[in-house]
Amino acid sequence: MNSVRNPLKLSFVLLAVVVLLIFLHYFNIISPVENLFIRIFSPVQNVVYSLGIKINGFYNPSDVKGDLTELNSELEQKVFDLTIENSQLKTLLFEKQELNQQLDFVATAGFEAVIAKVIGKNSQSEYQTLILNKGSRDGVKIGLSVIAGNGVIIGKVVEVGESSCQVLSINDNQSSLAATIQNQAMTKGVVSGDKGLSLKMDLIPQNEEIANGDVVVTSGLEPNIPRGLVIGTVEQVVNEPNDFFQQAFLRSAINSDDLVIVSILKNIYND
Amino acid sequence: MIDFLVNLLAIIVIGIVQISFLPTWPAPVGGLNLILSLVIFLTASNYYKKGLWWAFGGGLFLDLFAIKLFGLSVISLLLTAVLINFLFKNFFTNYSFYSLTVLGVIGTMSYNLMILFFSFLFELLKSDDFWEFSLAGYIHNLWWQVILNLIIMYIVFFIFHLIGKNFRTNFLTSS
Repeated sequence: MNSVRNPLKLSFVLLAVVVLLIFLHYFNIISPVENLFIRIFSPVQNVVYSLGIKINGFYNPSDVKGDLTELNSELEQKVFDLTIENSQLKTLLFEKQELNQQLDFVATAGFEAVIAKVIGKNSQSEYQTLILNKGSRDGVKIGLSVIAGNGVIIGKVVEVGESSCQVLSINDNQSSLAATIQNQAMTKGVVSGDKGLSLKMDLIPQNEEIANGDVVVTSGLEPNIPRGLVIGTVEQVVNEPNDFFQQAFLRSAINSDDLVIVSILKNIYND
Repeated sequence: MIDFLVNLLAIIVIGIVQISFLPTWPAPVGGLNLILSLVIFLTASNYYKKGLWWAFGGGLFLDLFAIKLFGLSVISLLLTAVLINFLFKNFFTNYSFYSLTVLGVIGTMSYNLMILFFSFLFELLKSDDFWEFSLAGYIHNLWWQVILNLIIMYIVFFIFHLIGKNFRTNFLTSS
């Protein structure tokens, strides 16, 4: 009977410990311990994440089909090995180019930025977030914008630890950005995520003319989000005569699934 | 002590794979929940205490990198382990492939529904944006997670079946 009771007792004890830990977490009492663990695991996570992207990007079943003679098999193997090496070099080159592109953009625009690596994604599937390896001790704060490439905004910082932070992707339902369409009228609206897959822009006045292909950028009306960061391009315009506003569906300027290096913009003051 | 360290290391490795490796793959593979699969398997294999410790350690690891609701994963995993153990002890006691399948389906669905329920409670208290989530998308992801978690459990089940005596495959036969 004791051996039956012990697991039951253990269940209650563990649940009680978890409740206590939740309490301590929300009062920031155990945050030094949490930050320590995150700092310890970050380098490993970065390697594992990069490896996952490399493998995912490289794998293509169509490369290995077909009947081959022995010589063809050897040549195929050689091509395969060289492709791997080329892929690894391309990944390094891509990361370097990404880094240079972001550094050039930040320098040209006069921003102050923190370069961060993506070390994971959130496991709770209803939120589209990236986990980065920079936190409060690097000057990261909630609300800062995060860019990739040549000034393409990918999200906003929503949670900050000492050595890591979480970035809410612009594709997430809960994301919203004040935006401007680069048409003649410089039409303003709000861009929000659409079920984690795409972007939509709302509150576009009915009388504004917008066309497919128009570029949408941040308007600079929000604190910590500079104007002019590219969000995407208009893909489809929905214009119902009886509605007060039009709606536009956008194509994002960047694929957030391939991101490895990003920049967190600090100390933004919009005029 | 060695057993403890081995299990701790395994939890960390599997946690890192789940947070940093699997999400790089497209859906539905990226939605596979390794820790949940192993918690259900251990509990349904009469390793309830080990399942509880895995739920505790694995859930805390996942919550360390969760955006909101610290404690959500660990509480859901612990309650799932309790539920699976209850069902295993009272209804599915024959260590068979079929009982593992049913417990796997129930465990995966109950875990995800608990996550949804606690998220709903939190959002209800906090904001009104909750109802923008896609029900169709949620059900689609849940369905795939059930299938993928069952595949992982079957793999572990057959490995255990080959090296141990705890299980029988118990496919339907005429005898």
